[in-house]
Amino acid sequence: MNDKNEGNFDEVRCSSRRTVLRLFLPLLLILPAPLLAQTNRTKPYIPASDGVVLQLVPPATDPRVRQFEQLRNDFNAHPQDAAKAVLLAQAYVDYGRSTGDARYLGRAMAVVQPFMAAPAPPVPVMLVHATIQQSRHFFQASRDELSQILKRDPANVQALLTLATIAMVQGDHDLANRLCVDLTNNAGNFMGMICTASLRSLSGQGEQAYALLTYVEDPGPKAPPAIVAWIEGLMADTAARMGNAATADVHFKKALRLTPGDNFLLADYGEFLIDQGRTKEAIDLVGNDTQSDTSFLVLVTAEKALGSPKAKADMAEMDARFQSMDQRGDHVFMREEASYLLHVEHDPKSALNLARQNWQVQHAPKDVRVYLEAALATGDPAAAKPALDFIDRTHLKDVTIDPLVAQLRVLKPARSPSAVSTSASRSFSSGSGR
Amino acid sequence: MKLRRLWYAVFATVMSLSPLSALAHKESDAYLSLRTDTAHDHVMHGQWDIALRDLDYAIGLDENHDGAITWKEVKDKRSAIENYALARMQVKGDGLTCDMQPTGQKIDEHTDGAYVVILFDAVCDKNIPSKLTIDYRLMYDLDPYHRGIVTIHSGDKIAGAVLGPSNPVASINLREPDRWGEFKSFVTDGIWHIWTGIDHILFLLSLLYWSCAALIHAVADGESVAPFQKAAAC
Repeated sequence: MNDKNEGNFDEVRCSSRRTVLRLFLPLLLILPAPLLAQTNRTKPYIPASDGVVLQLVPPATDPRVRQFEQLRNDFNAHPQDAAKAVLLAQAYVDYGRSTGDARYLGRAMAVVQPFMAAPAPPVPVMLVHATIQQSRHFFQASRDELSQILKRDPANVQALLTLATIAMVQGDHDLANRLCVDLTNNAGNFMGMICTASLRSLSGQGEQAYALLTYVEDPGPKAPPAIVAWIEGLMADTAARMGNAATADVHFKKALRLTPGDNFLLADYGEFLIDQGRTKEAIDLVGNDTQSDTSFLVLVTAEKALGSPKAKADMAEMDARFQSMDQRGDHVFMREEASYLLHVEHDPKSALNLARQNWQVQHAPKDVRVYLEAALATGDPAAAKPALDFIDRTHLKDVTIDPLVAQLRVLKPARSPSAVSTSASRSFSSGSGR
Repeated sequence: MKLRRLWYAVFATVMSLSPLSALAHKESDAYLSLRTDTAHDHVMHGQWDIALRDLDYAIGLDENHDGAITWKEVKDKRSAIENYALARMQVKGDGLTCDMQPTGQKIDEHTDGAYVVILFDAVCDKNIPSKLTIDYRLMYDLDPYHRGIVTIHSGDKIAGAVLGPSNPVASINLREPDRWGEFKSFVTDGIWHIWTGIDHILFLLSLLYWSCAALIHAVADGESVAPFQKAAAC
């Protein structure tokens, strides 16, 4: 059970306070969309006819569904078998990941949780458990478990790579570097190079990172498409960070050709397109994937930037989605929500609050960026100090971040907020309308 | 052999790493509301919205496995759904378990899909109890991240809690209005709590909503500052 992580008191309190603040303080002032969106939603109804389709669910024709049906039967027949539990849980996690449906994380957790009660749970069980924790952004819990695994099995490639990635997302570059070395020693140059390249890309050494990635760009015909797509995605991010938009575009497209409909790539490419002022293309990219919250967020942001008439209704829907996440006490979308508050709702103060909270958990470039943008937009450069210190320490370079740093460095704390808010908006999206 | 193992490890890891910006949908929630009835003091009217996707996973709704749940499939499973769900929640008045009587079945749309709406009455042994307890066990064995978002309406007061497999029980005193602050006990139980002290604002807002439909349109149109002035005017 990871109750101690979830039920953490301060977090719960904070969530409650934040929800109350988010819901009610603004309501008092401006009666914004969130509550109305909720109020305006449909009332319970009786469908017009028997044949009305209410909900799509995974069909039995999907081979992945047949696979986990089989794994589930297999596990049900041997409920004490940890190996079968791990296979089923992995199938759930993979399916949830490819469809973006977070419910499968819970289903996977229900399968492996009983095995975690043992004094020394099997390593594969712990790996799945840590993976689920990581996917739900319980990074500390995941780190602790991965460290335990590595004590028992120092050469465990999956544990090394997962921990390295968490370390990078959290800005712990020293740990990430040690793990990249361990990966090279235990898994060979291929993994070591990807790990090192990822870290270089976050440390202002984009050219080196990109060059390293070109060595592994073609890992041979036996490599699953998801691996190649992953590398292409890293190359796209690295190129974009250096300002090589055309190169980034090529890599994004390659990656999407390998894993069409991949939720993470769609959002990543969509954000890139908005940055490039290619808002119409962003809308076309994610327009058919609106069930996904991340894709929908790209859509709303692009619509707002374009001044599309659909923006208002979609903003109300986005608000309702954030609200339903808040209601259950979820905090996994803080960065996305901060960016939404800043660029779509134009509420820099709330955005800064959320960006600060997000900073407690994550330090990836997009976390840095929204933090700096919000600090600029509120005219409060002092608020950005932790992120600026982080950039000094890690030498992070990114064309979407560098201009923000330059503006913040020259900004005197007392300067007028209106001047900066314009520049912050511009830096996010060249096509951004008011 | 070694290479295959490595690819597998890499594949599994990549699968798990890519969504470092979280999965794209929220996790499983159900919405439970209970209302006291001044005309029938011993009855509370309940509405429980449960995602069709969750019920399909738990008891199977997609009878023909075509990937599309129709209204007929939901209607045909009405008693199975009610038996499954109502057996996983207890409403107690002063410690005595209230009888759960289903009264209707509808559908509602939430942000993440269609939900079945179970309408029911909790018929208690005595008039509105001092202590109302909800023991919530839906999905406890299937999804530890499931949450029951509970709202209790008593007159113009509203309170709520988020329950789940790790925090299944919450209690509230309905009789003494001043003690609605007891919802704080939800927090001490480790449960996200509620809008204590804000209930009257909600009430005012709902009044405002019904009397000022035009305002709502203005707000939905995203004119963010002016509506307050309009609110004052209407």
